[in-house]
Amino acid sequence: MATSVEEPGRLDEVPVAMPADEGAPEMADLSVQGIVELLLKNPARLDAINRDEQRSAVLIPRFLTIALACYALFCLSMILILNTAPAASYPQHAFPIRAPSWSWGSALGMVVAHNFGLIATTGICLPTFYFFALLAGVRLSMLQIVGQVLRCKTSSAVFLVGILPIYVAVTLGFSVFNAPARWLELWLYAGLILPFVAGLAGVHAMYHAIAGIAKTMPVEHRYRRECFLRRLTVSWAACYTAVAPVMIYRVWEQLAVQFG
Amino acid sequence: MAPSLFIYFLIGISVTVAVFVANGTRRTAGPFFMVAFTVPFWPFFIPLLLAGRLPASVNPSSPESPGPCTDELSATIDQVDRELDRALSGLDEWAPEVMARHKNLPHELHQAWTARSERIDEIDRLLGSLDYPAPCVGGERPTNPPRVAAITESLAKRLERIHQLRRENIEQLRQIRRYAYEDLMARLAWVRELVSMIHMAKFSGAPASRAGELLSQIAAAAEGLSELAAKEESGVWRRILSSGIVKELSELTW
Repeated sequence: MATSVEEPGRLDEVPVAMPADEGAPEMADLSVQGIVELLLKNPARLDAINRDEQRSAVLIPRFLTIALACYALFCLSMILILNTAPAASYPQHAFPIRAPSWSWGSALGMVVAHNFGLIATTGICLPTFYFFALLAGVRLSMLQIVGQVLRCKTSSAVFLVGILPIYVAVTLGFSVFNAPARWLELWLYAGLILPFVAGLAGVHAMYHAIAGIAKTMPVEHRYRRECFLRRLTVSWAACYTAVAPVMIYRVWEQLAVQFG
Repeated sequence: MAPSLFIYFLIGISVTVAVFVANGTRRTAGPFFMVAFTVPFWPFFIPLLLAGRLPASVNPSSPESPGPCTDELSATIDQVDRELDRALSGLDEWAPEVMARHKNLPHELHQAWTARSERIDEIDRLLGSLDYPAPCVGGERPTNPPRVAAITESLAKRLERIHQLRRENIEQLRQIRRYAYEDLMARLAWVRELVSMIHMAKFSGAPASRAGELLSQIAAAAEGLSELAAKEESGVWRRILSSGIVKELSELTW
């Protein structure tokens, strides 16, 4: 005959490790939307995820998607602003800019130049960054470099979209209050260098990402090398800033001539 | 510029083909993105190809994949589910009212066990990311001593202390995992014993009320697990898994 069975002892006493301070390390949502959310809310977590080379194949195309979408949005806004700006205030005195009319070639030229130019410049500067990292003694594979650089590009692009409404609002203010044409022209120039202003956010993200990777170095080397990382990041940013405008301008010019 | 572009896109197409071939015939969103972006931005994908990190070639032993302990748990859960289903289906004629009262029991038990198993899997992944794999049974694993030869004595002592604390925390986490695993296995074994007693009661001519008693004991197992999970949600487990030190440890790859 069946006998009664005692329930196994419950685990009332479990060892305690540390007090709570932040959210649980749940599996991150690595969709495009999830990455944007992580980028804004928990960039350190995204850096940690991005350090895992196994996830590069998933992250790299999505970083590219976000960056391209943000730059396309910026270009469309700039096309709209440049087309509606008074002719007298069009940026042509200090550095003549080709007017992005609503024609296929010219507008396409601007969109493609910014999208392709900003991303392709990153590609051009990748080997530089790789050698800089080797010089700094940071253990980085080429794949990790690509991942980190694109993550920073994405940060810049998202930041660009973040400051874009402020720029548009100020431009509207100039228009509404009939600001002098010279001021508006300067402001339009400022708009064209807006991706580089937003790039500072990318440089900042880059520094933190690389500093995080530097933690993989042996302790006795890390403290000597970490100071070099700042110089490395600044050097790479300078290299990028020198190449990107030339790339954008040349591609824009060529496409405008070809299709304009 | 045209010849340069031609060469650029020619290389892009070649890399795209390589990416496509490397991805095989998998129908995932990844390859679509890959192919769409590879032609214009092929320089970013060459490191991926060379490193063999395309989705099709993701290492099966990555922290995402369940470990052998979790496989064993899943198999045991499936087995208990099957045995419980068979026992309940045998109640149709013998104790139909008991059967009707506990018709949701298999589902509730399965949910409780699966949640518990997922929790153990989560700790396994965490321990894996700490470079400290969770053993299926108790056992020690040597840790690498820090290299502190070229630094000052005070810093060396401090680092040694930090490493000691780290080892202790990981050990505690491993202990928590072992307790959870053993507890779940014990509960599963207990339910299997109760299920066998249902069969025995049925064929030894016991009254139908006996089936109700046994099923109530099985239901208590599910409730016990749910209570434990709720307690952990508000307490110790959540605190441990969400603690800053654990997150920090998971990012340390010394």
